[in-house]
Parts: sequence; C-alpha cells; structure tokens
Amino acid sequence: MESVNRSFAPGQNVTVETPDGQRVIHSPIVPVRNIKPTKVFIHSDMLLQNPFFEWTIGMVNSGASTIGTLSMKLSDLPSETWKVFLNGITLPQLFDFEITCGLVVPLQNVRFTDVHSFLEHHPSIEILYLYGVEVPKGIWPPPSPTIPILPRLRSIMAHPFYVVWVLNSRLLDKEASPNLTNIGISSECARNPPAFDYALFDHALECVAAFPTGKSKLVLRFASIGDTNISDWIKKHLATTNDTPKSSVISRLYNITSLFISSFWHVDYDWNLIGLLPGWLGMFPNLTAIEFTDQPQANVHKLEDKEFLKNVAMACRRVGVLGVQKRKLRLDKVRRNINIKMKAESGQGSEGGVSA
Amino acid sequence: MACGPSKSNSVQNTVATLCDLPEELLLEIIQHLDNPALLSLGLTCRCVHFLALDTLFSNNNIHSPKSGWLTAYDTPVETLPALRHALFIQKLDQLYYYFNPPFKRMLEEVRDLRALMSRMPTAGVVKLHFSVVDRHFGVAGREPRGLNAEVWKEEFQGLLDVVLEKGCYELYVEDGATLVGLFSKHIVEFPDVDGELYFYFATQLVPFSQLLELIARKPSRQILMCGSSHPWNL
Repeated sequence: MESVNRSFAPGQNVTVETPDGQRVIHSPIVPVRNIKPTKVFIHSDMLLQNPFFEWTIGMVNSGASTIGTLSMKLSDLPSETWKVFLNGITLPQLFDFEITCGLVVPLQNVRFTDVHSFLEHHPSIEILYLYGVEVPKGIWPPPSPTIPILPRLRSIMAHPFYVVWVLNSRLLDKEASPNLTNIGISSECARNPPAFDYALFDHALECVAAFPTGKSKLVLRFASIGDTNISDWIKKHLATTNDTPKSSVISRLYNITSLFISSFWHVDYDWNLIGLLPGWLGMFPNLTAIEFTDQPQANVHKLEDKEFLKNVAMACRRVGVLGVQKRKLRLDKVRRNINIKMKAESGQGSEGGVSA
Repeated sequence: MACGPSKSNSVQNTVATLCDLPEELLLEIIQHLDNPALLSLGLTCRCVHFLALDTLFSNNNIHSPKSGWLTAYDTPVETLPALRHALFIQKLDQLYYYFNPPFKRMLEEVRDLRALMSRMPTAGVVKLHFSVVDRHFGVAGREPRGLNAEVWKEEFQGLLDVVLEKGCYELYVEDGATLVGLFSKHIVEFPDVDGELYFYFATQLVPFSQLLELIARKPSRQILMCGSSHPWNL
C-alpha cells in the first residue's frame, strides 16, 4: 500500500486506522486542486490506461476526503493495472466499494491479494460488492486473515469464496459486526469452467448460519449459465428432508428472515425448478419475506403462476408477501382462500353426508 | 430582413425585421426549419434565440435542459453548439451525455461540453458514456488508428477537470476502451515504484521483464515512446 506512484505532487497526509488499531499515515500523491466528488464510477478501461492512468489515480486521491462510493468495472485490463491502481489510492471516507464487470468474468481480473490489501487498508467500508474478481484456484477454504478486516461492514455481495473469507474474518473479531445483516452470495459466469459449482454456496451458507446476527437478509444470486446446476443443488437440499433433522444447512439458517433471489437476464427457471422452489423455500426456518428480483420476464410469468403461489403460501406459512420484481403478491390472502375453499369442500362433504 | 413596404412616409427609413412578426408567425416559420437552420437562426439575435433553440431541443427529444437536467443520447451534431450558446441554460446539475463518432465529432463534443460546463455555476451529477463510440469503433477497419493520444488526453482530461472543479459530486465514466486501441502510438512508459518497471504495450500494462522477453523475440523492433518523437532503436 505504501508503494504509490511518486510522479504526482505530494498531497496532504491521510491518517488511516488499520484493523489492528494502529494509525498509519499515508501520504497520497495528488495533484493540487480542490475537488469534492462523493461518488466516483470508473467503468471505463480508458481511464485506467495511459495517458489517463496517472490522472485517474491523482483525481481519486484528490477527492479522498469526500469520496464515499467507488465503483469500478473490470473488462480486459491486466491484473497489474489493478494492482497499481488499488495500491495507489487511499480513501479514508470510503463506505461503499464495488468491483464489477459484465456478465462474463474476464480472464484477467483483480487478484485476491490485491483485494485483500485494499480492504485491509479501508476499514471504513460498510457496503462491499464484488463480482468478477479472482477466485484463487485450488485454494479452499479461503485463508483466514490473521487480522480481522472490515469492522464496519453492513452489507456484502460476492462469490462464496469472498463471503466465507469475510465472514470468517468478522468472526475473528470479538466485537463481530452486529451491523452485518445483509449477506449476498453470488454465482458467476466464467469462461472456464463455464459451470458454477453450487456446492460453494453450501460452504458460504454454513458461515452465514454460524454468524451471530439477529434478523438478517440473505440474497442468493443465480448468475451461472444453465439452470440444471441450480436445480441439482436445490434437489440435493430437498433430498435431506427425510434424513437426520437439520442435515441441510438451509434448515439451520435461523438468522435469515428475508430471502432475496436474483438472477441475470439469461437465467431461465424451467418448470422443474419452479416445482422444486416451494419445498426448498419451506426449509428456511424463520422466513417472513421472500422476494424474486432481477428476473427475466419469462421467469416472472412462472413465478406469478397461481399453482406456484399456492405451493409457496402453504410451504412458507409465516411469509405474508411474496415479491416478484416490483409486484407484491399477498400470500396470506392465498392461504385464506385455500382455507375457505377447503372448509367449503369439507362443509359440502358433511352436508352431503348429512343429507345422505 | 426587410419585410414589406413601410406604413407611412414618416417611418420610411425604418426597417422592419423578422422580429417584428407576430410570435405565432415566427413559430410557424421556425417549425419548418431543420437542425442546422435552427442553430444558425438561434445565433442571429436575441429575439429568435429562445424560440429557435428551444424548438431544436424539443424536435430532438432533448428535454428540459432549462431545468438543469440534460440527457443527450443519439442527438444531432447541432446539440452541443446549441446548448453551449443557449442563454436560457443557466445551470446544469445533471448531465448524461453519450459521445458520438467519428473522432472529429467526438473531439468537438468534448470541447463543446467543456465550454458549456465552464459557463455553468456548478456541476452535480455528470455521467459520460462512450458506448455509442465503442460500438462504432469496435468494428474493425471502420476508423484508421489515428487518434492522437496527447490531444485526446488534453481535451477529455480538461473536461473532467472542469466538471470536478465545478463541484461535481457524482462522476461516472463508462466505456471508451476502443479509443485506446486507436491511439496512433502504441507503447508508452509507465514507471511504477514497487520494484518493477511497467510499460504499456499495445494498451496492455506489462512488467518490464515481460517487455524484455517480447523485445528479445524481435530484436530489430523499434519502440515508440509516448510523448517522444524519437523511436528507441533496440
């Protein structure tokens, strides 16, 4: 982190508190000017290449006292560029940090070590979104950081590797973030291999189940190509319902009260998957809210199907409202109608019996 | 601009102008003009300035720049010169601009935007998009490599500096990757201080050691250093 490009004029020193409580003085190299951006979105490779690269680092450092949101989009830049960029900036006010990319994860991306270093030096981050950053091959479980990182984290959305890594880090902290109540686990669309291993979701969910929070929101994002992996993963959990109680991690997610399921536009839920969802949703012990977001229109039609709604209403009796995109569907009404119908049917049956 | 005979001898020397026409009639005339004519007319005098430029904006779905909120996507070439000169645009808090090809137009747009933002008291949200440009330049052979990196840097960086100095609190720059591939010089030096010297080679940042390997494979190659007119003979 100390290695920054020295070709800029020296700016004002910035004191940063590291996770172990030490105060480190950084002297970011910044052009001298008075700018006050609070949100910076660098979604352009152009700004991270010559002739703009130095200017971009200088601009970000110039706004260090005000920048709260930094979003960057990966495309085809080599990992070295990201290393130099992330090592070259220090943002003491940063609370919302995002690295994202297009649908398919690029072959070259931000290395885990560079993400680690950046997060370690930015304890102010409260919201973290990572999509498309390096998931080191052949390393599982993720290495536990010796020093807890991100003490103020409230929300994370990332590949299971990073969720496990961050949650384990938070568990190291005796005052583990009571604020971390929004946990998102995302699959990713990679070139090689294209299929996503959903067993990784289970590892991340084990960490979520063990995480000492009260009511939390869980976001599961299915972004991989092909829906069979998702169905197989859900089937595997459903198959455990007759096994030892709580053998599926889903049944042990007591802290999860809200479940958001999102997808990318290309992820099509076939009717087989739609048929599996109610039983799987019913395995969550404390759900009171379910929402399907970022769904392609074809999925929306299936998720609003009356039979599907009936099955979800009966499987998740504490869920009052099911959100599908922007629509709110009243499951309590669905249940009431089912009960009325059942009573009417049983009433008709007894009347018939009486009359007989 | 003489319009009809004089009413009496006492006003014999008074010249009637276009502005003497009733507004309804002026509007009727203006609505038959195309974009270049509207821009030219808007720059002639104050009395038709508002009508002509306002018509140009509404004809091209450029909604309410007067309110300080501008979204310009797939707009005609006259858009920015019109915005630049529109006296009724006194503030621009939210700017969403999609640049357009070819090089010449894109550079003009950057210059015009810079001039426009320079006269605004403040800037708020600024979102600059190059997706249209990328789609155009992404097609191989559509434009020859010929974008001068130094000129482009000066112009675009100048625009970003202006909006930031005007207090822009939300800066968003999207796409533009194809432009780097069209720079006329391909290798530029980039020194790093973590022990390794990095270079840009054909827009990719590579460590010096890898660059040496690359050079070793083709020892007779000349390397053009950005900002230098003399090639390195290796």
